[in-house]
Amino acid sequence: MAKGVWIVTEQRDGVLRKISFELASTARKLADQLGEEVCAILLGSGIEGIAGELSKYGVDKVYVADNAALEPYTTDAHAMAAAKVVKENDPSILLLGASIQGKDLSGRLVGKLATGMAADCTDVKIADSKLLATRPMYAGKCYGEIVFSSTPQMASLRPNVFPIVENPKAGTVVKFDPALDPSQLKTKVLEVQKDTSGKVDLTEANFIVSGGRGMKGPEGYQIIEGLADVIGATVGASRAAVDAGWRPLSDQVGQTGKVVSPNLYIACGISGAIQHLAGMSSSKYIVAVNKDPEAPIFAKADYGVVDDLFKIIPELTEACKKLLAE
Amino acid sequence: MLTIAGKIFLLLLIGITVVAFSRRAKFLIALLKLGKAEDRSDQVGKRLKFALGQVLPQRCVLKHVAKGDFAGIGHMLLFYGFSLFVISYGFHIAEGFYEKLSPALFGRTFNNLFFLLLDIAGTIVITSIVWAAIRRYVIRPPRLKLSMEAGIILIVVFSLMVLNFLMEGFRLLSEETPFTAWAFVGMALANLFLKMGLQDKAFVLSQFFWWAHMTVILGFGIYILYSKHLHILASHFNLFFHSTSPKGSLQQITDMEEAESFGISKITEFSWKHLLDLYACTECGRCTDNCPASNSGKRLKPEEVIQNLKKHLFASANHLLAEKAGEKQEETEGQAMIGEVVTEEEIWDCTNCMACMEICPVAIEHVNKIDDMRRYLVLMESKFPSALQTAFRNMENNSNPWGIGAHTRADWAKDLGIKTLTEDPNVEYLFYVGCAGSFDDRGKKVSVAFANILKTAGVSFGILGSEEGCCGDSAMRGGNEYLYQIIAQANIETMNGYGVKKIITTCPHGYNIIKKDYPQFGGKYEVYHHTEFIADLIDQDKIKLKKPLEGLFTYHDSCFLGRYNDIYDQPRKILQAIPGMKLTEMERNHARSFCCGAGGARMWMEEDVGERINDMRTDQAIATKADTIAVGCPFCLTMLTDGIKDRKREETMTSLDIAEIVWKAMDM
Amino acid sequence: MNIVACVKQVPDTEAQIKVKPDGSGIDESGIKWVMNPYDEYGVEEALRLKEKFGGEVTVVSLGPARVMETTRTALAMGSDKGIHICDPALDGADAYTTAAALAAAIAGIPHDIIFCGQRAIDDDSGQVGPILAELLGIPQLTVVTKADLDVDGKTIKAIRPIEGAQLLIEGTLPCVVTAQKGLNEPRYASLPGIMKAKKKPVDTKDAAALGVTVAVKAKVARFIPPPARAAGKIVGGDDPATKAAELARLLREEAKVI
Repeated sequence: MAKGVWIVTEQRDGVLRKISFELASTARKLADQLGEEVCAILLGSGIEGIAGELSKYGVDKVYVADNAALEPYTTDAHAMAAAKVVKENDPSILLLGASIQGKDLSGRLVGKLATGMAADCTDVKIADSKLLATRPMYAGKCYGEIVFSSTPQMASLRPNVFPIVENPKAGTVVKFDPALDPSQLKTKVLEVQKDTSGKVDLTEANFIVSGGRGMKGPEGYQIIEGLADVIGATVGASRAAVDAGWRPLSDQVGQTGKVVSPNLYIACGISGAIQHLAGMSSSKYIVAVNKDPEAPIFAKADYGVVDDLFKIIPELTEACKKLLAE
Repeated sequence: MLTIAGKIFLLLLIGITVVAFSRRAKFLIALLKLGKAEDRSDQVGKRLKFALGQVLPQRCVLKHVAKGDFAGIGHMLLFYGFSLFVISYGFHIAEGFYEKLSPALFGRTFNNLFFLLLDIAGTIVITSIVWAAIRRYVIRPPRLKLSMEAGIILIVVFSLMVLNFLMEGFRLLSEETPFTAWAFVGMALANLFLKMGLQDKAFVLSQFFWWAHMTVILGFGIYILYSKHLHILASHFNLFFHSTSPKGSLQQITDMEEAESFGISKITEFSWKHLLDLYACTECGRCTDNCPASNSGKRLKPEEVIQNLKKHLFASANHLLAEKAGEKQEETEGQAMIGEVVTEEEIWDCTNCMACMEICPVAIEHVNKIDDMRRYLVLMESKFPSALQTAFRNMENNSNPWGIGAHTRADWAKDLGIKTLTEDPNVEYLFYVGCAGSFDDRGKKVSVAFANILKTAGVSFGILGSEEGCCGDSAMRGGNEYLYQIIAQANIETMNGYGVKKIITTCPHGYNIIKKDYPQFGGKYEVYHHTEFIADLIDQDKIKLKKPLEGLFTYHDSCFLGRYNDIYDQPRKILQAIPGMKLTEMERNHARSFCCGAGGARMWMEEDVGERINDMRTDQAIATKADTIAVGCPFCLTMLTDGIKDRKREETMTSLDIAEIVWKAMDM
Repeated sequence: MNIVACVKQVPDTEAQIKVKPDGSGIDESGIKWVMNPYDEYGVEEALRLKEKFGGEVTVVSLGPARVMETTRTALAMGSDKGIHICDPALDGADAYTTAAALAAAIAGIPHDIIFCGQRAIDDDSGQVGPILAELLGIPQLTVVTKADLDVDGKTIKAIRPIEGAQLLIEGTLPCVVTAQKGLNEPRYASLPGIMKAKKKPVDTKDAAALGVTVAVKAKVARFIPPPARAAGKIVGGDDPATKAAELARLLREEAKVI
């Protein structure tokens, strides 16, 4: 009989990522309802020392595989290690982060464990002693409640959605041998290109701060770049700004420019003509900052600020800086 | 009358001319035959009437004289003058063989009048030539290029006139009884020669100039076919074979399932008429002069397209003729028509505004050629500006170029109580709203205003709601005939399903395509543009424009309403029916209106070369000091609204659709 | 080179998604079905490899009869042949079952490289690619924005963006590559391509023919319409600083995007 709520944690450069604590806190909640243990899998090299941090958020046991081949992350090594320890312990629930790494790993694990998974969940709970996961589908146009008929019942959790709750446990650390078969390690990381410029291409960006005619000139973009740096956004522009020569053509968002769909689109001084909306209306959240309360962009915006962007954006930059530092 | 030797020599000269002329003519016709078949032999009477109506009164070049195109007057003078000379050459030759075959044959008065007219004509032609030379080489209007051929023709015609006068003068001096006394230039010259003491040599000199004259004119006859002056002959045929299909409609591609190639990428894929167009081109440059793309600094110059195609045709002529004759040809790396002769950039620069075709004196069909090359690029090569791909996909998936959810198409009408045809298929009119009117916030306001007008006037109408689809204009004009046909057929099926008979549109693009292109697929409706319809409502007193509107208005003629459909008066009539209306015209109006830049699917492409066409048009509107630019097209509305913003005139200037203005004036 | 591209048919991004009143699924009436955009990047990349290395592109799809249209789209773009897994038993199949069926179909044909979209825009789960790779026992390179196959055709280097960095990873063939936006600009099918596609061979197979037993391990028990998207909020405040702080708070706590 499968037992235990397990999580696969994530660390980078020896630091546990925030999602790991979100996973731990959520697992704790589920485990308490089931009356089961929370176990965490921690994989990497030279990371044994950080295992203890997890117990602060309700983890009873941390299974650690400390192995040079587990750093940096590769699908093959991590999937092999995680699958081994999961198979040996037969948990009832296995949670991962729906982060980029988690998404890469979770599918592979599903294959290895021949089980079912709910990806990118925004809610997980226990119903009839089983996992009931809720997840957005069709880009959030509807939600699905997922039930499982195999174990472990797997779910990946959308980052930044689940609360982190401190709940210190004794926390034992169990070291295990990942039993990596080098012949099965078929991918490797050749290079990590740290991206400090925030210059993700517009079409791939999760966050975009865009400026339009209201920027009044190329200098205005400095404040936009400031905000973009803080939230890790890519800078975009409306056609008017590109035509005016304030920004390069490659920055243009809209019908004849790039069609983007970030999680967050902040439109500064953009009135929202249909040619622009056609390029960004599928953004998950739209923020509009514009002096003109009649600007059509407000009809599409989730959050609107009617004010001078030259005052709002610097303040917003500061506010975000503070929040992100927390 | 000539001596025997003279007659033989003249016969020889004529013989050489005829042989050279017919060899070239045969070659030119053979080249035409390389083109695809196209039936232009219908409606002979109508065609003849059109061609003569253009040529005889010189309407072809005079139609825009009132708009400052004075060169047409020069052409007219040359045309009439030279035509008279052609007749005189007939007499000269005939007289050479048999003395009696002179104008005197028709009586003394005729003879005198003929030579009087000839001298007047000669004087006019010389004056015109001097004017043309000054214009071409001193004033140098930008549309005219300095070409050697143009210089040669001026010299030839000039020398023909001079030789004629010299010949006439010496002949008058040499004859005891001069053949006429009315040839005033000839008489003056005869007197001059007399004073110069040339009387003794008069006969010899008159003979010399007669021969010189003959040689030049016969040589010229040959030269015509070898030079750009081919147009002197080809233009008549071109006018006769002009397109009689509805103005601006494109020929549909049939046989889509089976055909192996679509659109045009090789010169021989054009129809013979399109090749004849190339012969007919005179390099007058009026098309380029009126082209919004050329005027805004884009690559496209319509005249160059035609001329380059012509050069290409001649350059590859031998190869193509041999190939047609079945001779094995070495694979030569000739120029690629698309890419080298006409660049892709030129092809995509075109706004399909038809200014070139409107102004062309010889009925050349520029836009159809460009759109056929677009079809090749899109359908065969999938090569087109990437922004257009977005628009195509959006039309495919959501039946509108912006890609907004098709299910929201009728959202603008939600609270207006407008019935869809499902709810009431018995309405008299279908209001075909179109994409801009359905999805664009700006366009929706126009739809609401127009629907309000219809309701107030008690018109029985309905909409298709979410069953309506994109009209397909941007797909068709963007070269995507396949997508257009799918869209058009779906719309026609829906509309015919409801038994739709009469359609009103607020967008000239929908209006034009439904009216002219849908019939090719069995969609035959009475189509009205809303400006036509509103004008009728005003005439019938069904709506009352009672509120005076402040400020100065100017009306922008949309290409697809004006040049494509000759709707110029109704919008102006509507505006003038508003109390207190002050209406002014932009410098370019009616048939010479300047495009907003959005036609020909340019609405969906980036415009990053040269000036923006919409800004140029806005500047023209600003120059009138008007406060409101009235328009009848949602594309123009968008472009001019943008132009006003670009020019930072939002505070003082606005652009409104006619329907919005009318609704305001109705003051309900 | 034997290249496989997996394609899924999904509702257009702009389609209206209406949940059936009983929550058993979505109402498919009026939906415009299109090729999953991420799969399209995969097809395009497959075609580019074919153009460079020669070989053949096989399109593998799964779903009801309407999916044939999407398969034809991929063929119109230039793929050579198709396998369409069509079986009512697979309707609503979970990621594992779907991947198992695809794996069975692909295992039966030569395959050097397999392209999938990094996720489908309908269920948004992004699992099929990795499960497929695991079931075929080959490596995966997921969410890739650039892929370079070595001239020897044996190894592949790919760029994979992660949070705040990008990785240059290398894998050996055969492998599964899941395509992310940015990998390429998918071509627009030419008209001759569309016409030819109608005649290209598509092999339709059911689960039994593939030897797959359908045992769904995770299923959507209930579809729920999303909470009505609140009308846009105008963030109030006395001064810019208050407004900005409130906006930041909303983005953090309500929208949960930063």
